[in-house]
Amino acid sequence: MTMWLSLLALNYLSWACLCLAVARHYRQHFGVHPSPVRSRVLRIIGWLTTLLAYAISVRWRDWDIGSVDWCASWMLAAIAWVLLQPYRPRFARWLAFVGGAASLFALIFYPSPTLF
Amino acid sequence: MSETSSGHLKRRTAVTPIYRLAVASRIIAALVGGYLVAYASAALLTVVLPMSRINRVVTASLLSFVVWTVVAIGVFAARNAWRSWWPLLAGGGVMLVLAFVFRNYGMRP
Amino acid sequence: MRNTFRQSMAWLHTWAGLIVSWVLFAIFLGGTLACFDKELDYWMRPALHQLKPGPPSMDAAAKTLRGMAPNAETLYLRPPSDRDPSIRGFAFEPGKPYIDVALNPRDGALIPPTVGGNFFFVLHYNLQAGTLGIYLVGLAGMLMLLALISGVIIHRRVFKDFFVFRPRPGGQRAWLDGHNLTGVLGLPFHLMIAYTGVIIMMSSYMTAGVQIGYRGDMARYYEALSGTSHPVEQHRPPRRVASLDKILGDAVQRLGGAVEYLEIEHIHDASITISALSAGNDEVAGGRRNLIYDGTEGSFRGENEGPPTAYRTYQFLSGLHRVQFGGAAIRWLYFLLGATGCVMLATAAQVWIEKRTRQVEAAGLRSGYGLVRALNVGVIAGMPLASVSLLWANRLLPYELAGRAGMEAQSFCAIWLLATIWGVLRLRHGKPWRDLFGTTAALLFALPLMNALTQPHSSLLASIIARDWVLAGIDAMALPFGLGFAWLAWISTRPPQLARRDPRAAPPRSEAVLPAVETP
Repeated sequence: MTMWLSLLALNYLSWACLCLAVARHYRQHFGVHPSPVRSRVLRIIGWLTTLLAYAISVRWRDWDIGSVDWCASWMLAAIAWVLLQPYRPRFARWLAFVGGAASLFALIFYPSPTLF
Repeated sequence: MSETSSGHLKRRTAVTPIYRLAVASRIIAALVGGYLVAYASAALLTVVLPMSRINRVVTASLLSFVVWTVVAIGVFAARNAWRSWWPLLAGGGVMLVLAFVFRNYGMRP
Repeated sequence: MRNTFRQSMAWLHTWAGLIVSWVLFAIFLGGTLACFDKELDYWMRPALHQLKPGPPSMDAAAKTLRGMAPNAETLYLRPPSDRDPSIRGFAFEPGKPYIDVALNPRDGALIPPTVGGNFFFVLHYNLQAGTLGIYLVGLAGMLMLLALISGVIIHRRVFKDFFVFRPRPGGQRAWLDGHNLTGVLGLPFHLMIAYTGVIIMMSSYMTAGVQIGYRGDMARYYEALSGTSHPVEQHRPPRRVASLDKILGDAVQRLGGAVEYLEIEHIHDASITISALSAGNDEVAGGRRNLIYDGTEGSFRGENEGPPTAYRTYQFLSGLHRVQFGGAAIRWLYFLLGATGCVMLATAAQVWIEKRTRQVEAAGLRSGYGLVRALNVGVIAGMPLASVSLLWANRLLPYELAGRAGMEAQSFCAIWLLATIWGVLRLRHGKPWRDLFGTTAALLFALPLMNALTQPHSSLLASIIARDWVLAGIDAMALPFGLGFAWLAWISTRPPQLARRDPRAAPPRSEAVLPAVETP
């Protein structure tokens, strides 16, 4: 269960970052235009987070099932972010941050025995 | 392309009987003609692929649906509803003939 | 027809999409529910609930199955699993309908028949219409591929509008955004499910390979696929038949995992052979190992060599579609993605109608537009209602009734027909979407109570106490799904929005300029 939540949380965080890296959406959330550096940093974090999620997934359940697990949670996390964002932008961001932090915490301090 | 107040794009061509026939032609070309090309490609691939027989048959079948999709898109993308028949019939025909001519080679284990 | 590539793709997307949308919705709904077909099978068989724990008896089950199909040459028995504790028996007697039964795992007794969750699986792959249905579904799958690809081609702002969803103030833009987001964000799933869905039945749809490679000999083709050769008949009856339970135990040990089914071939002949196929739930492509046992002695003969590479690829693609791997969690994700597909189709139907509001209103109900509206309400609102009704019919039809499985199926069709008729009659002056979604919600809310009243030992409370989470899960899910349909009923009551070109609504500064309407 922890692994699933981690996959979803990391993918969700990834999409949040990738979305906020886009100037139009950054402006909708924060009211100001993002600096190019900030946009790039967000984009990099976004891609790295999902890559991490993929690596964890494959390590957990092998290449075939792991790829499917990651891809399904990737798509659903995107849908969750896009649906939540226009209604509750602050909560959507908070969820990304907390979810991502919690899953990283869980992975580092309580790793699943099948991971390492 | 002009827009009405409801956002509906006004068509450039009127819906004449010729138009309807052209649409029907494209539909039949995409579905039936496309299937024939896909069938022919599966037959030819079963002959030429460098694998064992069972692998050839399965691979050729798997790929045939990609062929069908591409052909169908091509039929609808073509500028002329009637001219899109020629490459289908010609290409499909040639592949089918080749496959049947070399049918015995296609049965190699 | 249009002049540029993009325009012709827009035409194709609109019309291929529309024509296939209703059939595809039924296919998607069936498939989404079929993610939990075995769990629903179990829920719909109260005779299996609260079973005493103990080992299954495959031999008793085989005896019952032989009694039901005395002339069958081959029998299949599926041992109990964590999704379904019954033993499933399959047999084919020439000239008679296919036998598919559930048997009590303790004593092999026949469980009262039901269409089960398998109904949705069958609905999914042939619309409950036999061979014709299989071809219709294949055609629908191909049209879906065309709609997906043309949709990608015409959605030129796919990256710019990737995260865009503007639900307020509603109206056509909100519906189109909903269609785009479910289509784009779920695109890997939709493309995969369409292509893999079509190729699963490729032996039916594309016979060219077998015609050329095997001169049309399907039997030799299947033999080459399975990598096994069939036993040669000895034309005398077997001395004895080995114990299936012992073979199952041995097979599980050798495989280090579950057995999908036992196949008993040449059951009346001394060449009787029993194979155990591994379930392979830890691989997308499923089990590849097939253990062969002597049918008279029960001794292990060996394994077959396993599937050829291309066929393994096929099994992988088929496995991706059927999602029988990886446990319940991944099936939940597929369920949600399948629901996303249903939303994609429903929003598309809504967009199509809303883009043509003037023409639709002018034409009235006795028109092509009226037909579209009727089909929309009948399929999108009616089928979920019929699906929940199937569960109700299962509990309400007496278990002693002969042919009750057929009656369950008939009640599904009857409710669907009634719902469609109601929807059509109420289209002009009523709110049929609200009525049908609302009724679905009500049936879902009442499901656990109805279950408790008709089959107390299957109720939510009883299953929680017995820690039967599969059974409890079905009843437990009725509440959130009921809430979902109640919400759908509520949004159906809101007046339709005509906010397309409202000059008073100035777009907020940070918003981009309203994009041009994209499809005709």
